Amino acid sequence: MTNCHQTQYAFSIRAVNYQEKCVLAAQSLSVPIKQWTALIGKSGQGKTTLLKTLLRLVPGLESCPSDISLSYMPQRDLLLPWKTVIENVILGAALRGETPHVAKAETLLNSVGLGTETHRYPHQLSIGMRQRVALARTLMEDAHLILMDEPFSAVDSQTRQQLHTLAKTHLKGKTVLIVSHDLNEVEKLADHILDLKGTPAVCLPFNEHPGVRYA
Amino acid sequence: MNTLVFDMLKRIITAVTLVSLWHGIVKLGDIPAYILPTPWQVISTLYTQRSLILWHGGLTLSQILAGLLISSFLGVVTACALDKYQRLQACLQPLLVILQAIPAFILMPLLMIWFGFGLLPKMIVVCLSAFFPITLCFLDGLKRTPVEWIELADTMQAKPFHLQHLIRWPAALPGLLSGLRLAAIHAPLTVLAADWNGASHGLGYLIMVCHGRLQIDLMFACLLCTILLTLFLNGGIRWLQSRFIFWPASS
Repeated sequence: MTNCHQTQYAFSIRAVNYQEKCVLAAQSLSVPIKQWTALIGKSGQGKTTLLKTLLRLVPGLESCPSDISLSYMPQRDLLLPWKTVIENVILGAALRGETPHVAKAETLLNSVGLGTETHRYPHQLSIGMRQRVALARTLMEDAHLILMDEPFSAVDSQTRQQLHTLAKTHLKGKTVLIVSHDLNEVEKLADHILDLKGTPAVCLPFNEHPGVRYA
Repeated sequence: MNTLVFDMLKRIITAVTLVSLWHGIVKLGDIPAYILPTPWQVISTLYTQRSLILWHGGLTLSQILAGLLISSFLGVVTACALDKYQRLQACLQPLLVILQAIPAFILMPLLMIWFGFGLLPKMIVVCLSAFFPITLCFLDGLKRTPVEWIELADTMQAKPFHLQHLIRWPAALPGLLSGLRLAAIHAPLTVLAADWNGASHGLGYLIMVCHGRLQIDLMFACLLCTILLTLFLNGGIRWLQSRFIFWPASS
């Protein structure tokens, strides 16, 4: 892994406008390596925009660590309905025109408990299973930093517990930046918590005041 | 299963009622066969003249299929080009609107001067009428590819061509097939109207010949074949849709 001499990835972004309104203030953001950092904030505060800025889907990223690869796990699983589970997992390699590691994808699917579903289509799976496929697809990318945007919000609480355990096991020792509005989830999963607040929004270290909890 | 049988039964009852009504009108009204033949006369003409009808019907069908196939290809290529080069769209938009606005078969006399009486002019007419819906529906499908998929592909450093053929083309396939379906509805109309504009073969030509010779029974047989032909086209497109779009539309 590159940047092994560092202990954190430092990003800096310009102010980001959305529909002619400044939503994110210019700021720098650091993500400790091999730990989970959570980003909380109210809905509409700009959490997703911040992630998209880091992913360069929204312009505004001024500087980022060199040679760092990012992988994105969005809120919706975004599985392609015309591709089988295994084809969805190896999508990244296919899109880059590389030869995919099918064996590795199979191992990953096995480890998320979907070893027998590899040749089924997404619409034949439950929401929880689809989210696990999305997790396998994210892991397949082997990125330095994994950005997750409320990946467990669309499932029922029981499935969410299972997904938490799965994610925690599989992403152990990985660098993760997870967006959430669920403080309970965040306290369970993350090592650090950042709070996005204000207009335009800035990331601040989170310190919980009694009675101040996000719904 | 039970409702399926029931539905089938209802349809058969409707058909039998209509045919009986037809037969009854002819018999009770004592209508001569050169005005309105009985259903039975139409069926027997259909059988005795089968080779003639098959020849003309086959030509019409092959013109339609060839026209649809060629315009599908041209439509897909054009839609991809229009999608890639936005400026081209501004240039070609008026042409596409004209193509949509005019019935293609009015070009038939001109095309016959250029290409003669053969199969070619009618194929071109079908192409012209099918080109617009196919191009526009596929283009619309390309444009409607969910932006989240494209963003995900971007985060995976997708190569432009792979993004197209792995994500955008499959995402636009339902659009292409609904365009093809529209085109297949217009195609028989276009070909038959082109036949009437002057032709030496085709179902529409045969209908006009029957008209001239007062062979109403053969004319009815031709009309029946035209109905079967449109049903066949429609069924074919439905089959393509169920074969290639196996996922639910919501995802």
